[in-house]
Amino acid sequence: MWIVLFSFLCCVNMAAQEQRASINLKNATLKDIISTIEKQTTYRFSYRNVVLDEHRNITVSLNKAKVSTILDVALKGRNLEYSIVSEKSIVISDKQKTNPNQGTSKKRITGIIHDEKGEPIIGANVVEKGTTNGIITDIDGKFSLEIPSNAVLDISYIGYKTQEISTSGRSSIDVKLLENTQNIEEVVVIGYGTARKVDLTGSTSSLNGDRIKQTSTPQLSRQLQGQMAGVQVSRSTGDPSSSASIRVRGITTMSTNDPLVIVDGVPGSIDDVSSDDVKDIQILKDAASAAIYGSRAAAGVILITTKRANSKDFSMTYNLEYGSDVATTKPKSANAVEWMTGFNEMRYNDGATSMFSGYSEEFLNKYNTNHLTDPDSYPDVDWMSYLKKTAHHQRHTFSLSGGTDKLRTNFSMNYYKSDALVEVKDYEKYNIRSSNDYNINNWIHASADINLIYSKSITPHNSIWSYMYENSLMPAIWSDGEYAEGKDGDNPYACTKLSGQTDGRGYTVHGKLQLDLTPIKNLTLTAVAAPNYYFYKGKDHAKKYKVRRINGDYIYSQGYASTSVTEARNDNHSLTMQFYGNYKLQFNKHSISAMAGYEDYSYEWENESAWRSNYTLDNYPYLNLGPADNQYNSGNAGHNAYRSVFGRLMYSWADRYMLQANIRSDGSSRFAKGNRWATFPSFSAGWVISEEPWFKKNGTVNYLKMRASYGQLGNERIGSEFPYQALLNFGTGYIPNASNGVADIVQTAYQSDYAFNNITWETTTTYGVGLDAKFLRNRLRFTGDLYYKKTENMLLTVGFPSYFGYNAPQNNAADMNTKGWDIEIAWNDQINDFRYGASFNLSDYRSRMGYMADKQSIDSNKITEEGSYYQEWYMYKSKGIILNDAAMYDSQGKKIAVLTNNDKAGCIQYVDANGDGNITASGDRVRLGNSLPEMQYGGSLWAEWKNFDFNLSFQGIGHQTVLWSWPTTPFEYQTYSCPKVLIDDHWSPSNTDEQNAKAKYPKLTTGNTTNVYAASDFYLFSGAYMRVKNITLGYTIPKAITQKVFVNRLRMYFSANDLPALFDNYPKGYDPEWNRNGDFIMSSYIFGLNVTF
Amino acid sequence: MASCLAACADLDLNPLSEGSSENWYNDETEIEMSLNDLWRADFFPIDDVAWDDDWLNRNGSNEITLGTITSKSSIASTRWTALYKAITRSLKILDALDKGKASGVSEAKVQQYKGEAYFMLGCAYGTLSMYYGDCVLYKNPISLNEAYKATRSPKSDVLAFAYECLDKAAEYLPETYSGQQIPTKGAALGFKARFSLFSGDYQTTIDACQKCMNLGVYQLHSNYKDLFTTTSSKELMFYFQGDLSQKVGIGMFSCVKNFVIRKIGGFSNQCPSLELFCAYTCTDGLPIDQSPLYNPKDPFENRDPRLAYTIQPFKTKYSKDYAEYTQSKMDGTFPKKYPDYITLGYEYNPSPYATTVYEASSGKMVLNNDSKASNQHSVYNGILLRKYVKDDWANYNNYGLVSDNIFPYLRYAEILMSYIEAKNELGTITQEDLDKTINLVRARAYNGSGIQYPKVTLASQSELRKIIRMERRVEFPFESVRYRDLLRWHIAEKSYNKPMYYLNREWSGNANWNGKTGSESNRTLSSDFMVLLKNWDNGNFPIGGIPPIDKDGLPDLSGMQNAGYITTFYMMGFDKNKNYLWPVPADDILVNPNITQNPGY
Repeated sequence: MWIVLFSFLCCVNMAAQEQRASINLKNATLKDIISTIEKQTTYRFSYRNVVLDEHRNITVSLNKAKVSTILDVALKGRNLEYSIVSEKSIVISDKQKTNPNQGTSKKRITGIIHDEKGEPIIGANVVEKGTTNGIITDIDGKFSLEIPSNAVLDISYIGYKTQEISTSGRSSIDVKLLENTQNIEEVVVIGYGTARKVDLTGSTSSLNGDRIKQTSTPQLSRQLQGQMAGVQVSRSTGDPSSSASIRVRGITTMSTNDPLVIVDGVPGSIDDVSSDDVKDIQILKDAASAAIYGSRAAAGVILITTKRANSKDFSMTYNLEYGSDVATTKPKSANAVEWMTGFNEMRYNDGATSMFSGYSEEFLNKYNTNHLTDPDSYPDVDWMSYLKKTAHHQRHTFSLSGGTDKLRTNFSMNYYKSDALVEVKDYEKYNIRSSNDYNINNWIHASADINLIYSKSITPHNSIWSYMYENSLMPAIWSDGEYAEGKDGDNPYACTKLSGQTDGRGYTVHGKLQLDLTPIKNLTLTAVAAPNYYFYKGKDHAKKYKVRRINGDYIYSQGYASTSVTEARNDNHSLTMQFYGNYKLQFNKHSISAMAGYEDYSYEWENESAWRSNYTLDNYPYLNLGPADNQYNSGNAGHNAYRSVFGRLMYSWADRYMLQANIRSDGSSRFAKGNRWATFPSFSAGWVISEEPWFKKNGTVNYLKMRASYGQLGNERIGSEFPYQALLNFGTGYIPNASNGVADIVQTAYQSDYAFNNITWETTTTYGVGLDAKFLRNRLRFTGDLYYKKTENMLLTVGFPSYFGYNAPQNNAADMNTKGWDIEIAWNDQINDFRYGASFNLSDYRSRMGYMADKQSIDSNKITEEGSYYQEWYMYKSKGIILNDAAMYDSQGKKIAVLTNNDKAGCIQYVDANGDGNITASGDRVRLGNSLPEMQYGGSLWAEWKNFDFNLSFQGIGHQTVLWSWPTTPFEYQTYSCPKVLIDDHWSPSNTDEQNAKAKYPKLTTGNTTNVYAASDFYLFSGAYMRVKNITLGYTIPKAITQKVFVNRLRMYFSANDLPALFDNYPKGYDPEWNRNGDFIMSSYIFGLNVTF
Repeated sequence: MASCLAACADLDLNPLSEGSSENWYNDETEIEMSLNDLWRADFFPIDDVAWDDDWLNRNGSNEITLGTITSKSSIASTRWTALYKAITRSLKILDALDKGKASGVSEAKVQQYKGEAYFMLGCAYGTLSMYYGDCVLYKNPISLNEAYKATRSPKSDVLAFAYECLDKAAEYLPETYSGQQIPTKGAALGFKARFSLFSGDYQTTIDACQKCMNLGVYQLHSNYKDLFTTTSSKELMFYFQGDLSQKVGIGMFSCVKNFVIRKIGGFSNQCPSLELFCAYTCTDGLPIDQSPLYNPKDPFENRDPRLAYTIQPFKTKYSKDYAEYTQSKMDGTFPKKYPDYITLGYEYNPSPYATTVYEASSGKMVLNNDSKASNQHSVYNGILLRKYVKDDWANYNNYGLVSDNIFPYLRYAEILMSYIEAKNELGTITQEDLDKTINLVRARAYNGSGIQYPKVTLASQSELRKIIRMERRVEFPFESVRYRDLLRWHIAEKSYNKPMYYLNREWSGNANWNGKTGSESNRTLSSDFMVLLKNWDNGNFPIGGIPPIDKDGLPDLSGMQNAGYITTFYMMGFDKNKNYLWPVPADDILVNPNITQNPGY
């Protein structure tokens, strides 16, 4: 390597004060010498390109000697030389070789190397790739080097990720090196330890913290949507306080499919982590990666690593975000005249003799005119207009970080606040996290973390759903501004404003103490204790209030005629304890690491609630002020625990061949003694083909790794705490007592659930192969995985005969086979100072049921049985709308098979699958395909140019069949609203046959909802959609300006999140992700500010 | 580290706030707690008021009256599932008692507990046989594997076992109890009579009823009117009661707001049907289409007193004392003279002209909310529920909308009426039989009215059949009796295959209408509302005219619709080839193909 020479020639003045060390070693290896120097100085050695021999032949005894003096002694007789590159860095390399690049056409390239903050990097290595031609950067981070005209430069610096830069056509470059917090080689967090990334053989997806901050929601779970292949995130409401459901590689078990979340090594909850605190997230997708987490990892593992402080790097940052949120879309209801016309038509369909039996023709004709002059008597209310048009949210993050050699500390405080489209509703969350790392001495390292979360959510007593069922004839506000009665006192807007609210506050404390001992070299013993406390305090204050009728009377509102206070106090506590040891050894080309450990976990919970009703006072929400004769209370409690022992062995040779084996034994309190323990092994292997000597790394393919894995995982998360015990429920009974004339309130006992005493672990065996590759000078990255999962003894609720008299519990009753794949493709490049990239991920899977002992599980419209998809649609098959009376008979004049006696023209005709002449639920429902989303994808595009940054990300579902359902049954109780899309397009007795043949929906009726709203393929449609999740444009104010006010970095950005869905078939007004009764899905328009001091 | 390991998580955990049935049934307390669980209304299913032709549910139709019930309907599966739960739980108790699991329980107690468990078992199987016909029958606890292979046993076997259980119950159970209700000998016999009558096993009915009557512990409550607001009576053989403090109401009493007048914030959206209104005989005992006493312009006049105890009476323009009635509201004598015309503090006046009503507390006329004059949603057929209504219903809001009325699930009058019906069907009826049954029921109905009751005398079997059927209808409305009667008489196909009627939906259009027409009116009134006013003026409100009543006692109101007095609310429906039995839940058939389905489902 030429660097050594150059460094002496160019940078002598740079190597400022050479440091000194004391050394007294006999028969030491070179590595011993290096490590001794590293302990006493700030130097760190880099010897990546050489092999250090293990000969114990060095004896040195020097006191406070210059490092160069020591090294001169140590390297004597070896074909090695050294270079003191900077205060931090000494490079050891083979002694100078000849330069192979003589004779080609040359050019001079200059450039500047700086870090993420724009600070120049002094002493970075700039080397022509594949040669020893190189130089290190000067005090301004600049360099100048003569190279062949199309050479590629390798730029590296200790603690930073190495970059390859193409120089063809360029004479100067500007390179930003990204920090690599683990020295020398990239290390990633795996279960109970770390591993070099190159050694990984399992299938993982990872996400950098910076990518997570892009979208704005207080719940981290929602921010993962569309970000990683094989990780599907779905939500059903826009409520900021609700989390999203995460599925890793889909649904592969009947029981809990929530992945296990590990926060800094300890089981936790994803939404307890603020996105600003996330350093990175790894998702362990296959059994081989997840196996070390054993029993609870069958549905995948999410590893979250939070930010920690760096030594000697003090900083303070403040991030601000302010956003306006609007609904992506809102459903529309029929207006007053449309509703009344529809009502008349419905009544005609249901047997009325006239088409105007509800509202007369003259009344309808004059209605809109009358509405203008007398809106109180002739209301026409758009209930959606009583929701706010815009909601707002704000987010503030303040963090302090800094450290010395002995102590590093990080503190951050996040605050989020948002309101909602429904008035009164309000959500606030504080998240405080502090992490501290102590270097007690050479062999004791400790860390102490604490995380406090406080959330407060104010919710009104009604949701958006209540605004949707109210029809347009129900007055909301009288013209004099007073609250109107709505439907008989049920005025959702008055309810929101006047009925009081539920105030729920959650208090969470997560603590973690970790002790790492290094008694001998390469061995780390770790002990972790992580207690978790959660406390919930809920106060529901339901206040009585009156609304005014049109005639001037006041009546109590529906459901709010008396004031009551309900207090809830729930708490839970868990404790995780871990003890494990890691041994790592590297010699020659061998890298070995072994880990063994023990973990246990215990959890207990208790809930209480108490309430009083019929309060005289409406404004004192305290229990003591309520009447004592109307008080109630309840409570319950439970607990569970598990214990595990586990071990892992990893071996790799020459970064080329890797093997990994895991084993874990778990015992769970959920199973009876004999069935309690189970052991799950896993094995995986990797082959980095590109490390083979025969592989041409400089070709199109720069990196190629193949992975294969096999593993088993158990699952015991089946909801019930003691499924093997025949549980007795205690209840309350009311038995009349003639002697006192009231019912005696008695305690009752009954067994509602059957118990399978021998219930035990469900086992998922996964086989996976994967490929990681980099192409075109590492700019194009590809990761692909294929997997097959076989779940045996699946815990599932099989259909029980209901005449057996017990509710069916879950039992080990089925096998399921899942096949799937995920791919991720990314492109990153830099053209001068324009850096850009794009990534795309796509995943798909199918789960089909295996042996089920002839049992089935039917969950309303879905069936799970041998040969079916997991939860396959199971409904009637339809033949469309019965066009007219003649269509009630087939070509032979025989009456068609009907579902009810009331099936007539305008109803839906169903297929008589078993040909018995009737449509029956037991004979004519058929399987109608996969109900789960298929082909989920996500991706992003980003770019940086000068001080501007841009991001666009999207997410979508390529294929899914969705069952359409209305938010409420139209016209139900003769009062419910009717969706506009139904009013606009349905079979009508006043239409011609041609018009009816085109109708999208059947007739309006409440007399035969059994037929028209029966679940069938009539209401199945393609639910594919795509959504732009985020568009951000940011600008960083030049440092020259900001530094005048001592600001290191100041970035401003605008972004738009969750734009309305594209390419979807949903009826107008219905967002694909909206569940019909929660808050609307919201688009956010955000301004943000990041300041770093 | 060693000390930490010693403190590691314990896996031998047991439930904290629940028990385990493995070690249950050990003593009296535990057995009684298990028995207490059985006396719940869902194990003694109450047919919904809205399922029969005595009721108009303005909230819409239901799968029973529409005949649209399918094997996926929750109506059918809920009952089936609940009853089998009752069966399983009673068998479990019996099994524990038979195995002598419980210690320290006296022989007498064991016998009583067994009696109670057999009572539940008999009632559950008996009820299943009525609604589903053939049923899965198991007499001892079965294993899950046996359950997966079970088949339906013929209805006769199910019924036979129900009789056997009820006989055992009658043998083991006491005749009476004091304080808290426990099932009795009489209740066991009474249910046996109910189930046997349903299947036309008349001799069994007669025997069971006779034994019941011989017990001498039951008698008719002295007054029909008070029976439904009382809290105890010798007539009640098995009944349920809710609790106000816990906001628990039984059956229709779980939401009395539905029946309370709009004036005090109720909905009055469910009410007696016009057919029921026409089913009450006149005081001469004759149906309204035969009695000279019937006044179609004042249908409350000269009627069986039970009409005014069941349906809230009101005056029509043609009531004899209409002028006096109107005057009494001016001079303040109204509450004293006409107490029955006040409900929950207000006069009930559905007249489409009645913009105001009398307020008892103030003696003033205040705005009426229960008339089409000022409210669009006021009682849709003009008639309001009176039966069961207690003054404290006015405070429904304080009790979570419930009331603590007793629900008379089985009362002695049913024993008397079942006895006489069985006798008549067998053709062995005597005047003495009539006098000790239906005439007692009638006499009690008229008791306190000051009118001599019209005695039933021997007549032809078909004449008596009509009398008995009409008597049952007006004696037991809203007591979960009528729907079963329609099924067992096989007249449901008639009573349901016709429209459900109500009044024209139109109203004055404004709550501030002055009650006047023509040029004096402050509002433009719609032509449909003018029809309603005309019907009132002509004495055709709420029905008008005289409907013919057929041999089964069913009135035919189609003439009133043709005359424009009433209109169709919705068409009901009933398929005689299938709807006499309920469907077996589809999921059970899918789970066990050995289970057959009832025809047509």
